[in-house]
Parts: sequence; C-alpha cells; structure tokens
Amino acid sequence: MRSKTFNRWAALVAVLAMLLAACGGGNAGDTTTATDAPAPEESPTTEGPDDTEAPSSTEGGGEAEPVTIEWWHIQNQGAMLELWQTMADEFVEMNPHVTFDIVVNENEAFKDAIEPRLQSNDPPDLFQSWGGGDLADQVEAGLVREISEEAGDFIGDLSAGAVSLFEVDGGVYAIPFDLGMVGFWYNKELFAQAGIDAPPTTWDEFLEDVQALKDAGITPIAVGGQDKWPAHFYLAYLILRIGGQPALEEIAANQDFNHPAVIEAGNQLQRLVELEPFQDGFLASTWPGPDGEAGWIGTQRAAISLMGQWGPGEYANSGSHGDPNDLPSERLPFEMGWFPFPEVEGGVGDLNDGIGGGNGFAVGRDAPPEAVEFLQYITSVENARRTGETGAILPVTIGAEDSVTEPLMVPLLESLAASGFVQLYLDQYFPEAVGAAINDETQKLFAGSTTIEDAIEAINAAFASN
Amino acid sequence: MQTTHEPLEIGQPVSPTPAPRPLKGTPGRASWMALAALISPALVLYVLFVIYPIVQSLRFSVYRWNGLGPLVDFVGLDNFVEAFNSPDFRAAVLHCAIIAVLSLTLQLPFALALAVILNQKLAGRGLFRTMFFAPYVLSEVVTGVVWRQLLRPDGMVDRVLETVGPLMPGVSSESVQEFIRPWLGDPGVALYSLFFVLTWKYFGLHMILLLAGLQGIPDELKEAAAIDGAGRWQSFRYVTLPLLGPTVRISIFLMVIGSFHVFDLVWVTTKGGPIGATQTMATYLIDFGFGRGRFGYGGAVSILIFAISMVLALLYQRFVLRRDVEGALT
Repeated sequence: MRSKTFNRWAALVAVLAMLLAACGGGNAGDTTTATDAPAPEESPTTEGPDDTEAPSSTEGGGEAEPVTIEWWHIQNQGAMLELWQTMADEFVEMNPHVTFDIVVNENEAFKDAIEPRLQSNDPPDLFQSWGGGDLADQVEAGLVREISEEAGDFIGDLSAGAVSLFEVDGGVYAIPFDLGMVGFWYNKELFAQAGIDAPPTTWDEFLEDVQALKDAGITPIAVGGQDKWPAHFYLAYLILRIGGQPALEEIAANQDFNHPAVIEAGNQLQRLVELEPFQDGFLASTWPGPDGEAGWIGTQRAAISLMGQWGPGEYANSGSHGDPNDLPSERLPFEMGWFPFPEVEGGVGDLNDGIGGGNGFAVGRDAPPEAVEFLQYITSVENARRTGETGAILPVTIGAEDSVTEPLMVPLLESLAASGFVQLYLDQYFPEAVGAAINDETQKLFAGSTTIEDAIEAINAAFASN
Repeated sequence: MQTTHEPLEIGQPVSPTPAPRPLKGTPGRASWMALAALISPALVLYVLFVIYPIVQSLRFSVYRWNGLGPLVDFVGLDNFVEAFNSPDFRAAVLHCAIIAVLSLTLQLPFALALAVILNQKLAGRGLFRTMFFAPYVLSEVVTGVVWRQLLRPDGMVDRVLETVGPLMPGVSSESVQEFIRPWLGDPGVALYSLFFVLTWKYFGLHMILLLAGLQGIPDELKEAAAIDGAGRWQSFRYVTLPLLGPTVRISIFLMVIGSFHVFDLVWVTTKGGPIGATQTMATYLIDFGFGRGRFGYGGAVSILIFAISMVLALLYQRFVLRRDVEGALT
C-alpha cells in the first residue's frame, strides 16, 4: 500500500537526493526515483486533501510530465486490497511518470471521508462510486468528468447493463468493475439440522423455513440493523417481487412511495418481523465485524443473510477464518448456498429480477488522462479475470465472467445472467436524503415501531425536502 | 512592596526606591505593539475557526443545499421550522435532557458520596482515587469500543449477571434471564445503557473536583460545629455542603453542558440508534445534515444547538454562578 504519508516522505527523499546530486555535480544521474522504492506495509489512511502532490522524478520517463493519480477505493481487506496495489505498481512500471496516491477506506468510513473533498470542490482523481442519486448530484455539481469519449475505446468491452448504472443523462461518468446481485446466503448445515432439504422458492415457504429454524433452536436470520441498508434489501426485494419493474418505475417517476406494491411489501415484511427471526440485539448490529451480521453467519450462530456478492468474503473475514487470499468457500468451515429472493404469491415480479448494483470508479473533474488509461488497464479482459479469480469481485468485462471460479458465486451468476431487470439498491438509487429515509423507516419496520403507512409518509416527506 | 515598621527619623535621607512600573493605565506605544503581536495569532485562529464557521452556518441555514455547488436555493427559515417540527430532533433534545437530569440525580450524588468517603483516612485511599479517576483519562472512542464489546448480547456484562445474579438471595437464574436484554439493541433501554457508560467515564472527574472542594474546607469549622453539638450528618449538611456549593455548581454546569454535547460515545456504540432511541443533538446533526447531504438543514440544526447551549449557559451564569463569581463562599 502506498499512502500519502509515504509519498510525502518519498517526495522529500527524492528532493533531498536531487539536491545532494546537484551539490555533488556531475553525479545527477544517480538520483533514484521515488516510485521505485518498495511500498511499505501500512494501514489504510483516511487523510484529507493534500495540495503538495508528490512529484515523481522524470528521469527515465521520457518527455511526459510527472502526474499523480489520487485513487480512493474501498477494497480494504483480503486479496483485492493487494491486487489493486499490484495493478497500480504495474501501471507505474509501464508509465514511470505516474505516481499513485492510494487512499483505502472501509465502506461506511469512505462515505464520510469523501464528503469534505467533494464539498471543497477537490474530488480525488478516481473514487468509488455506486452510481445512482449520489453520482447524479456529483454530475450536477460538476465534480466528475464525462468520459464517454475519452473511454470510448473500451466502454464497449464492458457489460452494457453495468455501464448503464453509471450513466447520467446519457453520459458515462464512471467505469464499473463489479456487478452483482443481492440474494440469500444460507448455511446448508444449519438448514439440514432444521430438517429443511431444499431452499424455499416462495415467500410462504421462506417464512415456514424461518419458523422451522427457530423451532430447531437456531437463530434464523442475521441482519445488520444498525447499518440499516442490510435491512432495506428485504423491503426493496418485496416491492420488486410484488410490483415488479413497473412498480419501481412508477415510484421513481412520481417520486411517491404511496404505491400498492409498497403497502403490500410492508405487510409481508411485518409477517416476517412477527416471527422474531433475527439475532439478539440485531438493531445494534452492523454488517461487518464479529458482532455484525457477517460475524453471526461466519461463526454459524445464524443461518440466513440477505446480502450481495461480497457476502461470503466478509463472512469469512468476520468469522476470522483462513487466509484472506483464499477463496471464501475454502476459508469457511461450513457449507454455504445461495438462493434468489423467493417469489411472493400474487406478485408480478420475476424470480430472476434482482436488487443489485455495481462498484465503479468515478473520474474526478481534474483527473489526468492517465487516470482513464488506468481504468482501461484494470478493466482489460486479462486484469478483470484476475479480479474475478479473487472470488470477491464479479467482473463486468465481456469475456471475464468465467474467471469467477468461486463455486458459491455460480448460482448467483446464473440468476444474474437470466435476469431481465436489475434494480440498483434503493438507498443508492434515490437522492441521498430519500435513501437515508428509506433506510431509517426500514429499521423502524424491523423494530416494529412504525406502520408501513407512516413509513411511506416519512419517505415521501424526504422527497419533498430534497 | 515596601513595609517599614521602624518610624523614619527626621533628617535621615529617604533611601531611593526604584520607580514602580505602572501596572494599570494605558500601555505605551511599544506595549500596544507587543499586545497586538501576542494577541493576533490567537485572535486570527479564533476568527478563522470559531467566528467564521458560525457565520457560515448561519448563511447555510437559510438555503437548501446538498453541499455541492453554489448556494442558490434560498428557503428563508424553512429549515428551522422543519427542525422544530421534526419528531426526531425533539426526541434528540429530550434524550439530552434525560441524560442531564439523570446525571444530576444519580451521577452527582454518587460522585459526592465517593468524594466524602475518599476524603477520610482510609487504607489504599490513593489507589482508589486513581482507579476511579482512570476512566476519565480514556478517550470517548476507546470507552465506546470497550463498552460495546462488554454490553453485546452474551457479552461480559450478561455473563457476569448470569453468574453473580443467582448468588443473591431471592434471585433465580430465570429472573436474571428475564432481566437480561440487548443493552444497546433494545430501544427501551439503550439510552440508559449509554447513561451508565457515561457515568462510568465521568463520575471520576466530578469525584476529583468535589474532593478538591472538600479539602478546601478548613477542619476548624467542623471542629467548631462538633463543639456546638452537631452530629456527623448535621455537620455535613450545614457546614460541609454549603461550603462545597461553588464546586457542586461547577460540577452541575459541566454535567449539563456535557450532556448536551454527547457525541463520540454514542456514535461509536449505537450511531444514535436503535430507531433513534439514543439520538443526541450532535448525532442528529451529523446524521440528518452531513449524512444525508443536507448541509443547509444541518446548518440550521447547528444554530439551534448553539442557541440552546448558549441560553442554558448564560442563564446558569446569571442565576446560579453569579454569587460564586462575586466571591461568595457558599
């Protein structure tokens, strides 16, 4: 990991070296470049803006002006953390005039840390984006650059569905590297203990299985209630299964959650909540961590978790299993399975339609052209295959899909391939304030402290205030 | 200062004393320069980091603004009206008030009792004082992380209750199980759990303050009271307590202001949840302003928090601390 602190020191060393060389006269050729130094092992940094960018020595870099690419990503654990660093090093080797300034944050910390940078009109050159309402706000504020032309060479090599998540008014502002879908991850051994032989395909069956697990003395579901967004997947999926794509389109177009599908989704969610299927203290549980949703699954204290493609890796991390460089299925000491969110009786949604989303990198307004070249580099088929091999990423480059050797991902990828419609996570899809209201109200529904009618009213109020 | 006890004899030359430097009055030109040079760094920092942000908050508070781009959407006082009408903000104010009241009714007497005990001759007195003061030295974040672990379901607190509870007379393990709940995950008790942690962290500070106050009371007064026939309680009630007044009032002031500023601990343990049960004014500000890209609204909320704290502080100064400021002993 190459951090800012390191770059500052590296810059200082480089400058001192040049000064010494200049004093010594005639020996200038001995100056070493800062970028050749080995990267020290450092913990992720969350440092703020830095105007004094570390210059890399131009020697050996030909005519090119030295540039620094500031890159914020959230792959803060396991194989992907290392792979991004490796790819950056490789890119520097090919383009010696480029220096990277990589800032790694955990998911939630990233959201807090990026805000002041955007607000001070100083976006990083490349930064994590989920598309949706946030990206639209950034586009409107002129913080991100349209790269439809700049990236024209390689955009066509990426799945059009994935790219569409990062389009605002027809222009591309970020490049996706990962696209997945949320679904139920479950512990096959705990299901067997409860006498369940096949995963449920209807909501009623699902509720029966939950009861069966409970009767067997097993905590049926773990949910990160404090983080709220893991809970919102339930409401989002129920709306999708009940009202289908048209319902979600109507809600978005009218900016009105008062829709029959939402009310029915609330009623169905209440049936689940009334079974009290969640882990002890689920309202104070986060997604990651030993006490979090992932920890409850990773240590086999709960059987089911509704989560995206990053789930298994985090179950293994939070359960402290195995070597982070291995595939999740190899790390987890129990057998897991995946099934899509079941169909709801009377609903019009298709079983393969999904709530999902991707990860991409938005390009900051003043990013050097090299930043886009770097995106081309990491999304090339060969490199996308390397990300797929980690089992933590589902690459979107056409031809790299089969690089995902993680067996746990197979059913998810099949469902994704068969799906005609993927709705972006609702809390990302809508403007920030509305997304937050959806999460808040879902948490209250899970706590049984509000009704779906009041929840709808609160979410609509957020639309009005936005 | 010159203090002469011997009368001066007539004719004896007065020994020349160096002219005393003027302590009061207008400083000379050079002193002005020095003053300006010494004050300006602090003044510049104060204006830059205190005055300027407050003015900016005021400006933001009358706009609808997502933090990006220019301020264009002027909404007047709408943000303030929204905050006043928001049940979540009202709840946040209420939670702060609950913490303040509990601090005064539980934490203060507890700290006072400990201070009185540790003011007496006692084996290991110094050790106890250090031990009780130690939590105050920890940062709130460390405290939060530690207690989040202790209070988690099946965590150490639950285990201790399960083990120790049944040993007490009349307590069965079933009733202990019934008593145990997700301390931070149950909206009904989370705020009180946090109050417990806050007390754990801060009682030591107030204990030390009160201890210092107690040591400032001369023993002669208690002796005099004893000679007049006062018992221990009477001596405490009518001699010690009144003389401890100024310290108690400062403790109360710190507790109330502290209660309205609670942030770190809540943010680390519950983030204001579950379902807003532990939202304080500061966490509400971060959650609903910063966290939702509503910086105009956040500005309005921050102005309200500032106003509430300021009014409280001024009223307290005016009506309670005035006598202390004027130098009264009790």
